[in-house]
Amino acid sequence: MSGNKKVLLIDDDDLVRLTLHAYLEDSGYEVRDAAGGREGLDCFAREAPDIVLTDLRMPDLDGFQVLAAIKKISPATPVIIVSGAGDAGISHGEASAFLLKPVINMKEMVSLIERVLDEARRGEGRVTDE
Amino acid sequence: MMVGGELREILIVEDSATQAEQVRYSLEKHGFAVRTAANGVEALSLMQQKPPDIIVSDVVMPEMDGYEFCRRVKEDETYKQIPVILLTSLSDPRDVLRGLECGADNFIVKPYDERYLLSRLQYLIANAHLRQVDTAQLGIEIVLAGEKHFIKSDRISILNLLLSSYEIAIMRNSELVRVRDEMLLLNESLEEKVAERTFAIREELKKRKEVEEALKESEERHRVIMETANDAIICIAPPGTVYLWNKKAEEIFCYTSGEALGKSVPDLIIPDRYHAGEQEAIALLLRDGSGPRVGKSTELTLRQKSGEEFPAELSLAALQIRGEWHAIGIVRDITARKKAEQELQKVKNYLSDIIDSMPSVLIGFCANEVVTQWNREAARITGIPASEAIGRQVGALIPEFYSWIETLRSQARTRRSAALEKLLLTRGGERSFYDLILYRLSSDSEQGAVVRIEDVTERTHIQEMMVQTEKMMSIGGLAAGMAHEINNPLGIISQAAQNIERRLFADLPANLQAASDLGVDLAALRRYLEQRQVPQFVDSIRQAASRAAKIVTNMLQFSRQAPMAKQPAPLERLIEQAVEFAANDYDLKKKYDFRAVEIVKEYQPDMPEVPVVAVEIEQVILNLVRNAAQAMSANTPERRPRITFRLRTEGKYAVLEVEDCGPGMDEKVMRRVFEPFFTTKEPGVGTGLGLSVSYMIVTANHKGLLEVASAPGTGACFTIRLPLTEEAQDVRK
Repeated sequence: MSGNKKVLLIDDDDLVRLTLHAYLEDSGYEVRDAAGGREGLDCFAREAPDIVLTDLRMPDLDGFQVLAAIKKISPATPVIIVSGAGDAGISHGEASAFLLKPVINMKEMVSLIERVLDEARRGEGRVTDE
Repeated sequence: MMVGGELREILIVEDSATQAEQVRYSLEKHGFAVRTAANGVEALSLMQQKPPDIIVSDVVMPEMDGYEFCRRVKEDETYKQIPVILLTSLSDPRDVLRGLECGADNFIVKPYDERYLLSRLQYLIANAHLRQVDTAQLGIEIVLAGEKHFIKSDRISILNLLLSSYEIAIMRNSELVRVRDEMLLLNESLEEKVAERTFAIREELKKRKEVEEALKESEERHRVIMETANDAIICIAPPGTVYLWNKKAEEIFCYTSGEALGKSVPDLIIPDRYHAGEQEAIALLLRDGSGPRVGKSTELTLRQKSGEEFPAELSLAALQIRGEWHAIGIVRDITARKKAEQELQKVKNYLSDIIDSMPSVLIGFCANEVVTQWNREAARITGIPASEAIGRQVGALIPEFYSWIETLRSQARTRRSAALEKLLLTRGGERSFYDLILYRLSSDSEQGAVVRIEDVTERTHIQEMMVQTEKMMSIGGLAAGMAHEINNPLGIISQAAQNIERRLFADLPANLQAASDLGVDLAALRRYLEQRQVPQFVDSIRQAASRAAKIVTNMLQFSRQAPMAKQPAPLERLIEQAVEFAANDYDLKKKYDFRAVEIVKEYQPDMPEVPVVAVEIEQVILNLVRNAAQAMSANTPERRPRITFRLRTEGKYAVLEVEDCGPGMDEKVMRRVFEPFFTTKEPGVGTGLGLSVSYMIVTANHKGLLEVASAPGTGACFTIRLPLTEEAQDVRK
């Protein structure tokens, strides 16, 4: 299933982070989390995760800015945007996937991450949750 | 005459019966008895019967003249005392002598003078005794003018005769004096008359001169009037020739008076095609002064010298001058007036066109509410044509509006206009809204007014819809913000529950490690938890979070920022898909067998494809179908559930109707049906968002319209209007 892939989780809500972190960890990932965009980018530079899950609406840097910055540093690293339905119609830009908040079924989240990682491994590509 | 108590009898001897009668009349009037005889012979025979008291005899008579008769009387012893008065002209002195010769007692001159005759008679009667006393006879011979006369009359008789002669002479004289005086008088008055007459003639002459001058003045005045008149004045006389042609006539017809005088009128100014008729009319006029145009003003077409025709007004008079009929025509060029009239008519038509083209009902009426204006829209709305409406009471024509009109009239008493807005009128279950404005007419002193009635049903409807949309938009914005804030807590609840489940019931290495480290018997713990229903509670947390998440997701659709691209799609197909989806809907199936619903399709053939976001419209249709099915689930068995789909185009819109035969809804429900979270379903059955999301999809995303029509007991019909082209969408925006 995982092979100890490193996941960077960026969300300004501590409890969101806590619950997702626990599930991802239980699912076998090595999880790093950050409470904001800037912190997330620092962490990204330090940890070089295999995949990034980022919230869109955050106080310092928003999800798109994070996405843009990461793509600058490491274009190959897949980024999944996690946000509410109101943002679902927005163009995801270079994001690999969009994950709808609230995450009612975390099993599906894990399979989405796996699919995205698989795509990334095989080269280019984008996976959607739909 | 009664003298001394005796009635004197007079014998008149006169050959002229008329004169005899005349004398008889005047003597009888004075009380004498009268007998008449035509001559001396007859008189003598009468006297034999009874001798008279006095004899009056004419001289010249047939048979026996007066002198002879007198002599016979005087010679007769029985008669000689009877006085005899002879009637003589006394034109000859011999008459006196002849009278004396025959013994006459007195003379009277002819013709009879009544007064004189009476005085003679009275004298004879008074002096009768003298004659009786003095009876001595005396004989005198007198020669006069060669004739010998023997007079044997007594002195009294002679005296009498002389006296009477003298009297007669005096009478004659005084007569002459009187005649002379009269002549003098006459002469005098004649002179006066001559003087008077002379004066009169002088006056007459003076007057005549004045009249002449007045005439001259009047002529001059007439001439000036003629020449300065602003109308052409033309006089014609038999046989129809012009003898007067004023300056204005020259101007109007371009003929100088020299050219016109003596010519016939039709030749000059009547267009050829009217010659025959006008010629006849002129002939009639000149014959007896009558005719169709005489004594009035009529309009006709006349012609200039150049042949150019123009409209004219003719006032024609007929005048009889020395037995001949003349015509006086006053002609006015009414080209300008005609033009002005046409212009006015044009303006009038234009105005009435405008009034008629107005999409509002316009009704004019006067103070007593009698209709004076009724435009086309008024006729259309009421079905009463203007020809029938005008002249009738406004209250009788539009009774349903009358009370409002009365209100407006009382309001407009102090103002120019008064208005009432959005008046509700329910006719046959159909609700209509009207705006009424009443304008007082300023140009009308009679307090007339115009009322405008405008059907604002549609506008009111659109306004309501717009208010609704606004409301939805603001709710949408609010919901979006709220949804974002709720997402995280919901996520935390759901995710935490999922973590609890997994960390309790999944055999994850970390779970097993932790349990053994802590010496917990996992199996025992799980049994305990199962027994205490903990898994159900955790599951209910997850389910509740899931339901809430669904609501939030729906709400977020209100505020979708980036519209999805529209693709032309056949609405028929979208309906098919929605119906199919409804049939397989698990939630629906639980409560209701959708397959029992009869589906009726009334589609306009050749429906064009409509630019839509297919999934969204599908969602809208599904929503409506689901609502319909749920509404009809309570139907009685006789009322078979049926959904009717209708498709048609209306102008720039494609119209899709979804009609059910459920219980319908009342006004109050209908008003709120698109409101978010408004639901008539039991709690948990619906979110209260289905119709509001549908509403947003149709109106905000597709620039269409979503409306509902219903009444309790009649089912409901939802109508979706979608623009047929994207341009139409832009236009609407």
